[in-house]
Amino acid sequence: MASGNLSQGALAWSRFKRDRVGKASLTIALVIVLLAAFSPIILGILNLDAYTFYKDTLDPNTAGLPKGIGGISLTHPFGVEPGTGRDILARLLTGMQLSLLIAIVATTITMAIGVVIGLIAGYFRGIVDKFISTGIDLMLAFPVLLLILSLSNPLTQRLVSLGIPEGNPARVTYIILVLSFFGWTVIARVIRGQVISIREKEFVEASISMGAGPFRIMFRQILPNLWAPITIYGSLTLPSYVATEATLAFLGVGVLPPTPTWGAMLADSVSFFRVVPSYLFFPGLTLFAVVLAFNLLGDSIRDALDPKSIR
Amino acid sequence: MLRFITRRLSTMVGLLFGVSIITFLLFSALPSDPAALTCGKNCTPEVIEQNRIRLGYDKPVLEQYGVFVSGIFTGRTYGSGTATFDCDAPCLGYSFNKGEEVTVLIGRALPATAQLAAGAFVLWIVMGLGIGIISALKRGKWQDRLGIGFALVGTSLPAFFTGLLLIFTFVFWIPIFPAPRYVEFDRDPLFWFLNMLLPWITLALLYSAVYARLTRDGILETMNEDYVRTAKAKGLSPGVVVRKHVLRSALTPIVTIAGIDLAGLLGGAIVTEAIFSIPGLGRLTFSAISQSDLPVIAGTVILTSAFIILANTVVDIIYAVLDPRVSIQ
Repeated sequence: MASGNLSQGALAWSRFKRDRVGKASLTIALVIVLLAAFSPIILGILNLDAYTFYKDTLDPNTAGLPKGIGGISLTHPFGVEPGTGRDILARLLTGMQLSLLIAIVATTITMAIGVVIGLIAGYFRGIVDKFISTGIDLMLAFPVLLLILSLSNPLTQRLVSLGIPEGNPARVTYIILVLSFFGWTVIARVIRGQVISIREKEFVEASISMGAGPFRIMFRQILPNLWAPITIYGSLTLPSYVATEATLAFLGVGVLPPTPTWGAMLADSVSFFRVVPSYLFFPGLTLFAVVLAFNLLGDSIRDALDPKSIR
Repeated sequence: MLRFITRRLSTMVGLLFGVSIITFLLFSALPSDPAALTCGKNCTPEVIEQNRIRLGYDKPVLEQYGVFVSGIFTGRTYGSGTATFDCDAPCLGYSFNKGEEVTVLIGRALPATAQLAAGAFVLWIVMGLGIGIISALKRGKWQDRLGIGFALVGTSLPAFFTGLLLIFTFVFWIPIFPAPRYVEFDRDPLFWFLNMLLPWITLALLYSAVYARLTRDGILETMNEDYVRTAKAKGLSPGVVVRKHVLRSALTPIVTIAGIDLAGLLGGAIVTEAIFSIPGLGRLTFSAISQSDLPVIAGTVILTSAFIILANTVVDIIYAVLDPRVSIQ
């Protein structure tokens, strides 16, 4: 490659640009984020709303089942919910906002905790490292899903007593907090490994000899060298959180109705999936497509940042 | 070697101690009152107080922990005077919701979960390693792309969606399988097998994707090693090189993950058990959570963590036996 004095980022970008799957998944991911951000406008144009009961789409002869195949029509391209007649497309788009918000915030907190703890363990080594590594071993031994489920009620109440508004704000905060609390261990391990080797480089030695304090070295000099693993793991954590949020909602730890998230919609669709399969398929396939797109994007970012990776 | 094993075992005991005390403190700090759940409609403040003393919830938390731990090894006796009952070792507590010892409840649920985990494990190892090996050997060809595609799809599908999709397709749409209803193996082996197949596939899809990737990457990485080149250069057939030289080193990291994954699964697959109505540990815990049945939840949390810690230790020791360099580190 004729790129003698390109920066690492420019090199990675030039590699990324040649990756067709990467470009496609980046486009899809951007479209998804834009759809979520502008969902109120889009729904305004389509003249749909996530909370309106479109009663005329339901068959009065059955117990509130949609007319035709899942109530699919030109006005309701993805059909309607059985029982209420709420538009599935509108709920998917509205729900995407909250699903993505939870995943993005939780990923950011996870990465921040993981990076700081990994830096500390890798930089100080010795007893500090031993302590942190044992803590990580301990945390990895816990059945996470089980703890998240069993702590949900009491900890949500605790959040309310700390001043977070009851209902969805407290529930969403709980989901974000537990995802981050149980998620940082893997990132901390990766960062720790990287820091242990970076720490031996000459520029760190030079900084120490010039009298720089440990925190200055860690955050001003070592941290900038860690952006590759941070980007890679961040982009792979995000889709896994979108899926986990859905799983938690499926198991009953989610937002309160009528607020939609993808997980809440899927959980709701289970009781109807035999008679109105479209109610399960549209949210399920959307979730799958979004998670797949972000996973592909994460893979492509990894390939671009780490030329040694095997493809 | 002996020193390595002793050190590893003492770490294991330390971790077990840590996990159990954290679980215990966590659950005793929760606002729900286990004594109030013991009497249902007959609850009066006096009854609750009586049961609190009978169950030992009136004691300080650390003392309760001590009694709990000694109960695991020697059993314990609840209550005093004439109104006592024994909980034999290993005693993980007593569920007043269900009116049974936690160990009895777990013992009843464990077989179903073990069958689920074992079958899924076999399936995902065969699928994961198979796809990974084929992908690596056919690198860049269509088989490889198919393999990578499968791995990505598998990791992107949440278990509950795969499970529901399988039920919809193979139970309702093309009715090959009976509606999910758990039957014990000795009652009707064929029906048992038909019923377990879809849950096995659900879990196998989820796990084998990760294994396929790890296997593929591991093999491709090992292929670049000098000793593999030597093996090829001395004229060994490609099959022998892959089987005897590449796989042995490429599969080591997979053994670690396989041990931990299997152990974690033995603690119950909440989602899969819920979808396919399998009366295993996952279902037991899930219903315990909805009833705030703390002794059962704490019991299964500690048991699952113990499985994971044990698997980790066993895998480490096996490594050290297979590869003496490990124990020197």
